[in-house]
Amino acid sequence: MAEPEGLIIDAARQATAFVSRLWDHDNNVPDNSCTLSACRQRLEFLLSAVHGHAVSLRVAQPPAPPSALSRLFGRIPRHLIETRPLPANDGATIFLPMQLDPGEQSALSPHHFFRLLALQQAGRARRREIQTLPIDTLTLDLFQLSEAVAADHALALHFAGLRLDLAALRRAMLSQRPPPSLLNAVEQAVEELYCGVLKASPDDIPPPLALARKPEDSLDWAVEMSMKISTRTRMPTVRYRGCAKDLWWGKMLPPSSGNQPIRYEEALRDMMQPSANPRRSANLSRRPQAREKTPDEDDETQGMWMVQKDDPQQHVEDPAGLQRPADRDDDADAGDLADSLSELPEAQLISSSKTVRELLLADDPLDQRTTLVLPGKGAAHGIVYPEWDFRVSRYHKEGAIVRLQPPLLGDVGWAESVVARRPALLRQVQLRLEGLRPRRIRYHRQPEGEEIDINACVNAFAERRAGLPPQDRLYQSVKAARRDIAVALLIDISGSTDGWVSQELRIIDVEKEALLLVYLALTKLGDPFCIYAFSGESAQNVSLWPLKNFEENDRILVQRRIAALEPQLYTRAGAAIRHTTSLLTATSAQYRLLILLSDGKPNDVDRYEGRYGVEDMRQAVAEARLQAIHPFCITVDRHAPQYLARVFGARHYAVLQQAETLPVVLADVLRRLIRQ
Amino acid sequence: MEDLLIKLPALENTRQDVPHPQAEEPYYLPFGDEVSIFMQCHRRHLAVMLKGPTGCGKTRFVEHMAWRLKRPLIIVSCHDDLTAADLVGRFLIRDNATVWQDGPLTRAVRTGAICYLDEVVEARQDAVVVIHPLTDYRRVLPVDKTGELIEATPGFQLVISYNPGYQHVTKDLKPSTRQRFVALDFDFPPPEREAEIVIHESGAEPVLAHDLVALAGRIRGLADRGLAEVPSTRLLVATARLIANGIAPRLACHVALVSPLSDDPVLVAAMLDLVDATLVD
Repeated sequence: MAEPEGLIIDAARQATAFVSRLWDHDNNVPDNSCTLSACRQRLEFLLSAVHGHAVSLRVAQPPAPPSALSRLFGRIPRHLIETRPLPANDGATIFLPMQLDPGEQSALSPHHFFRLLALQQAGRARRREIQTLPIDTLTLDLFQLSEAVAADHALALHFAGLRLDLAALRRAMLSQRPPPSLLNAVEQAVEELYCGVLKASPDDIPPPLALARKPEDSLDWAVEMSMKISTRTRMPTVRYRGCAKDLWWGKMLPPSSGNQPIRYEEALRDMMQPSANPRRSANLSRRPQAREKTPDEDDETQGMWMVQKDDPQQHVEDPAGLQRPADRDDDADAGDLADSLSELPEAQLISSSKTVRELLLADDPLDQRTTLVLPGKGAAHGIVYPEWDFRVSRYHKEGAIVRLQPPLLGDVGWAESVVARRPALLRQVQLRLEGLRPRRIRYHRQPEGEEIDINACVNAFAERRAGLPPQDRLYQSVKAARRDIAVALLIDISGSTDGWVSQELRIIDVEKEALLLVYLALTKLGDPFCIYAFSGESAQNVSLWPLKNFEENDRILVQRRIAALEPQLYTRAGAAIRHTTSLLTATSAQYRLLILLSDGKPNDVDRYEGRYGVEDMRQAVAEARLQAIHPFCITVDRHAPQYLARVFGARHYAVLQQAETLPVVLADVLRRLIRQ
Repeated sequence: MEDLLIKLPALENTRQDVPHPQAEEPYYLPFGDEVSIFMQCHRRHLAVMLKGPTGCGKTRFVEHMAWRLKRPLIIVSCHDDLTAADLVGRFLIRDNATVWQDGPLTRAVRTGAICYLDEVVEARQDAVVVIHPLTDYRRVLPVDKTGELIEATPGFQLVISYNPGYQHVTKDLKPSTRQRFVALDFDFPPPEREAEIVIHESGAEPVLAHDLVALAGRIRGLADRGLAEVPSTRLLVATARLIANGIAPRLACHVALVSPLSDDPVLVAAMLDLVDATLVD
């Protein structure tokens, strides 16, 4: 008979599962086409066409849930509590909610809705020049209203096709306004202004608002208007608590600070030692805002109350500030930590030399990352390559050390399962490369050959009749064309390839499948080729895994090596390209191709990121070109044209709009390059 | 000869004659000093190279200048199989006799016409080298098949055009060829002028023309986001013609402006969004 305790636990588990199923069922988003992710890329293209430069679009984070204390004692009225993410901008980036409420979808189709919100926020972001915003809530709200109206007016003026959408959005927002009974006199005055705007046509500016040509005009108007409202409503006695914000009003985030990486110059030994405990990871439902450290946050001297009797409850930021994230024990549940971090409105960024214990992943990662300079380890068992430093325009002699790693062996059945799963794809890849087999070519006007060249004979006859010296090239012959070509495939397996491209595929999975299919097709062509994967951490540890040498021919072995590929660390592309170049130059082929499969900018833990990494990669590519190698890059990074054109030159790279097409594109690129 | 595309219809009837420009002035709206520079080059016997993206008005400019200078015009569209014989001429057999047939270049040299070699980088190297003696102080065309050395008639002028960054990677003009030309850079006209051109060429309403030009300007902003070819003025004129003849503006933009530019579904969708936002049916 079961223990009563076990029964209770079992019942509780069943009940929890039932409730969570019920909850999931209610919150189900049935159609993915209604979310921002479905049209994000399309909107980014649209914004960059409208504004002439790349505008990045990110997911707006939902507001932090109000704590129990603030609900009890805070004087935030119910209609002012934010319940959902609002569209926002920080002057450079646009934030849009992931999905819309069902009520809003009736007014406009989701795509039209997102398009309008994105264009509105981009227009407002463009107008943001004033760095210091008014502190007074009333003036700030009036300023935002005036700016939003001016941005809408410009939108309606330049994009006649959007007027109907704008009007529909305003109508939809008007129906959601709070009842006037909830508002005090000052709030009613602002609400009246706002409703006036929502009722007006988008290309009109309803008085008392005026068209603000510059943000300064809006500021002047807001200051003046707030004075008027205060005197009219005897403001000091009636407090302005705010105006209920909606999708039209949005949010004005503080301007993004320059993304200066935090630099730690010290040598950090902990990083080099592999952590004994495996990293735990969990997903964050929302990411708190990163905040600056406040001046009085940490006391210089220790106070009296430092005695801690018990371990406090595990929480991300405990009120007493006694437990820092790095101090926690090793077996805390990462999911619980993620939940409690999601509840914080903001959190401070701390850089630590210790290895992180848990990774909490958000949809919208932070821009900042810590850079660490790791201590040198010597070049034992490695090949040293120079590295280009654009800041001083010369090479660092001992720039990076490439270490060849023995490739791991994966599952034998993986290759068969991929081929069985994707027969159509394999066929497509084979078809594309089939045309490249050395075939027979007819040579005209030969001094000797199997057949007579009629055209040459007619020409020669005519010229002889005209009294010209006789021609002797009158034959044609058919010979098999010899092609002298060597191909090197270089695959980036940095940590970022862990990203998901669809429900069940990561970038690395797509890369592996593409590699396998192209490998199978290339072996049939008979040209020598090699496959290398690369990643690594720091200049001392650029790892290269030879998956197939030029000479190797063991199909099963290569397939198992491809199967074992997993995302590793960082992308120090320069050194990897230099090593592959040296391998290619050692071949006797007349025509050498280097194809790089990448998923983003070169980066590493130290200075190797941003412009430094790009410039070193560019130099490595230029060196390859000098050695008569033809480099080409295929990437899934949508922002690649901004830097790859400089690195590889125009028309020497391809950006995949959909990662799933990689095998076919890779085959296409090979075909194009080999044909040339 | 069948490889040569002679764009002027009069050639069919007058095999050896060189067509003169039509009486009517070909419409061309100058953007700078290119007309006066071309006139000077013509007077000083200098060859001219026109550089610019497709559909920005290079050919129209040459037609206009030929009309202005009252010179006959021969246009040769170069392709990768164009040989020197295609330009200079060859022997043909006719009625059991051999007849020398002048090529378009020889004909232009003899008659003092303007010879326009369109997309010259596409031609084979031997064809390009033929023009070298014509473009320096000698101004002669050696025809080795007949042993002739033809001196260019005073009105003869050589004009070539090419599209930088568009042609094949392995093909480019040799420096020794480039340095023989005065180069005129062409680009898409500024919005006001482009609208004027669209109105003139298509007969569209001014409001529509301005909308189309604004739309094209925005789509051109996508060039560094993966759009290989940006919409040309020629494409805008075609779109405006469709609209002026009763096709709904958004549909016309879809078929004549957006669809020809790209096959990438996301890019096409983004461009259609732009069309939707800019134009009203």
